[in-house]
Amino acid sequence: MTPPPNSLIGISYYSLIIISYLVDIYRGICKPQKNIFKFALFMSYFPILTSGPFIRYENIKDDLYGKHKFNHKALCNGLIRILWGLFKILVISQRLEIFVDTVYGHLNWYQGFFTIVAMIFFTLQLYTNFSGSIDIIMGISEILGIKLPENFNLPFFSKTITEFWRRWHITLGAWLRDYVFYPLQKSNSIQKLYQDCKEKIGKKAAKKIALYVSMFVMWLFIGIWHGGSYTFIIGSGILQFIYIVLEDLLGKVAEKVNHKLKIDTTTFGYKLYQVIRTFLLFSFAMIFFRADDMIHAIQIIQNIFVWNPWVLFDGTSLYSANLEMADFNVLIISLIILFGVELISRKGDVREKLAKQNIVFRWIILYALIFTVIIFGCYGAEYNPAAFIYGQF
Amino acid sequence: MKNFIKTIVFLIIFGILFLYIRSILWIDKNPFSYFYEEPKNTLDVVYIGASNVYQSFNTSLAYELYGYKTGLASTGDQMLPATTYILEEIRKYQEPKLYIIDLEKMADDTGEFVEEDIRRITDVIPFNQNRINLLKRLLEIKQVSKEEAINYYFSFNLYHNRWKELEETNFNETKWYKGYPLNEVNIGVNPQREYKWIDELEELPEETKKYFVELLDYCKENKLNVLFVIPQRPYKPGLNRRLNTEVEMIKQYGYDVINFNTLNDFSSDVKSEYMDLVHLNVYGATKHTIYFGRYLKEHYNLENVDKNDESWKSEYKRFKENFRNYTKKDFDEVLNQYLTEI
Repeated sequence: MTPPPNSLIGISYYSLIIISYLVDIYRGICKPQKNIFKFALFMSYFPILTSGPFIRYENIKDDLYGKHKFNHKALCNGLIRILWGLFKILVISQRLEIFVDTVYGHLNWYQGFFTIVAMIFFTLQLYTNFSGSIDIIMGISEILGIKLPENFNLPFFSKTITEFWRRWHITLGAWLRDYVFYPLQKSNSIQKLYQDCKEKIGKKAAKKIALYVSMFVMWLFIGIWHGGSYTFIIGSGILQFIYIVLEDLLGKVAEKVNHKLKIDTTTFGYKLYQVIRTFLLFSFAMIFFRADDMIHAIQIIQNIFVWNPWVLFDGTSLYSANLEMADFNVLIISLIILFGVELISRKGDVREKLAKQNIVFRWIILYALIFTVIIFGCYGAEYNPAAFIYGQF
Repeated sequence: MKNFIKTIVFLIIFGILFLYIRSILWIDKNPFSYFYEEPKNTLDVVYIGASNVYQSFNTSLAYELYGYKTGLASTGDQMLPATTYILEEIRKYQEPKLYIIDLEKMADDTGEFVEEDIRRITDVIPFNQNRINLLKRLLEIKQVSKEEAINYYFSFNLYHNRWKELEETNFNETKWYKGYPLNEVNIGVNPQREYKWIDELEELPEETKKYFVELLDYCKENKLNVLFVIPQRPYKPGLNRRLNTEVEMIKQYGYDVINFNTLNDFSSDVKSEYMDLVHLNVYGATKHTIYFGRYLKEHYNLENVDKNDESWKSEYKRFKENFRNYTKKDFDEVLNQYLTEI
């Protein structure tokens, strides 16, 4: 996926940042910056221009304009975070991309379980690429002494799509909540709709309708922000809206069914089912996000229903999609490492935990990570330069 | 201060590990790599040219028999435009009494080489101005774009991906012996046809002539003692005729040429001493080394002051042991038989 040739780098990011700046001044949350150089520094803070996260003037101004001293710990932590980001992008995401591009680029050759694996791989590719680029941005900022808001919080541990979006691209979600959803909810049109519906269908249902209309506008906005084509509008907008509405509407029904069937929803097994369900629903939506156009997306979905599970087990087929066995092994091991680290990070910053280990263990881990990136990273003459997927928006 | 020291130690360990990993992942060693492993100013002869050079001259055997050390600045399909830069590189590390230049690839069109041919030379040469100049020339000839060129200047971009191809030899013992190879291929026999040398001349292509004159001028200006060699093999008539033209030019500069296709007292056996169309097998190379090595000893004052250099002796010993492993024959018997014949 490459950005359109004549798009301005980061336009989607600094457009929304300047909107939030102006609105916050209007709302009295912050005062305007009158020094043009300081303002320019805020607007052109280089690490975030390609992939975010979205910053708010009020939250970042002290770090941007304050005095900075050399901080050895911040330097080390920042470099570790950059390294982790490079691991995600160069070792994992770039390998996933090879498989996904091959399968989605040759729909007549690769069908059935190839398509299912590619669907799952694309979600992982998107995550490792996007969160990896955010890790690099956060790392650079940490070294510079600038604290940015986190953009991810272990999204694949989410049990519902609603929860997923609270953990994925967090700063975009927060921006939309503060500058689209809440203003819309309070707008005269929505209030009028609420009043009209309340008289006809009751207070509770009217509240839901007003909520869903606001949500629909917000998700439409997300789809348009991602690129405006039908695939983006459906994949990252409408489908997500439908999932969330269905979760809301069917939540009570599911509770009743579980109660009747005496399903214990507190067990690990049930939670795992919820996590996998959420992952697969999101992955399905991402077919549209990745597809070249609607026809391509429909062909991909049709391909899912071809029955060929043997390709997973015959020992050769899976490696025919330009990702040979050695690379596949590196990929699987790297994904296990990623999963392990994310699991540990649920109980606190992994770097802090690492810092508490003795120096030999700590350095072995760091050298292993550095040389994993250097040796197994997909960069150089045989690969396209690593592009940030979210750099195109 | 404590943090500063820790950082320095961390970087030093990183550097050591990186250099070790780089040496494993880097382009497979070729004879030119072994040239750089010799201590400064210890070589008596440096032999320059394409694969024919290292397939035909067993350097540790020549040291054993005649007592001089030969370095091979030789790489597969080595091209004429690179030769002056290779000479320049040699002169930084060694002061050989004799330079031998193999002419086999020196009369071709100058653009007839591929990426691998470039890399076999430039990825061996340490990063220096001469390497940059050589790359600039070769990439200009091949019309490589600036974007691609960066991968030639900084080759780790390419080689880090070799982890999939690593073999035991990348970590342990090599199949090279002071630049001479011994492997499954060059112990084999592949009968070839006889070739009769043509004495006619043919004009050199303009670019070839330019680079060849540059080479001769370089040798002359730097007062290098040079011997040019035409190896025995079948040639296309055009190449044969152009080589004759080069021989005429060489003689005008006052240098000697030895043409192994026209010698009365020596010839490789095309039925039993070739491994392929152009390369001698280990038997042919042994015979060739005995003859050519003796020729060099008799015509040039080459004897090395260090006649018991352990690194050369041990490589010869290792070669003989591995010859036995590959062929189940005693190399001394093979050698003695050739010594009585030649």
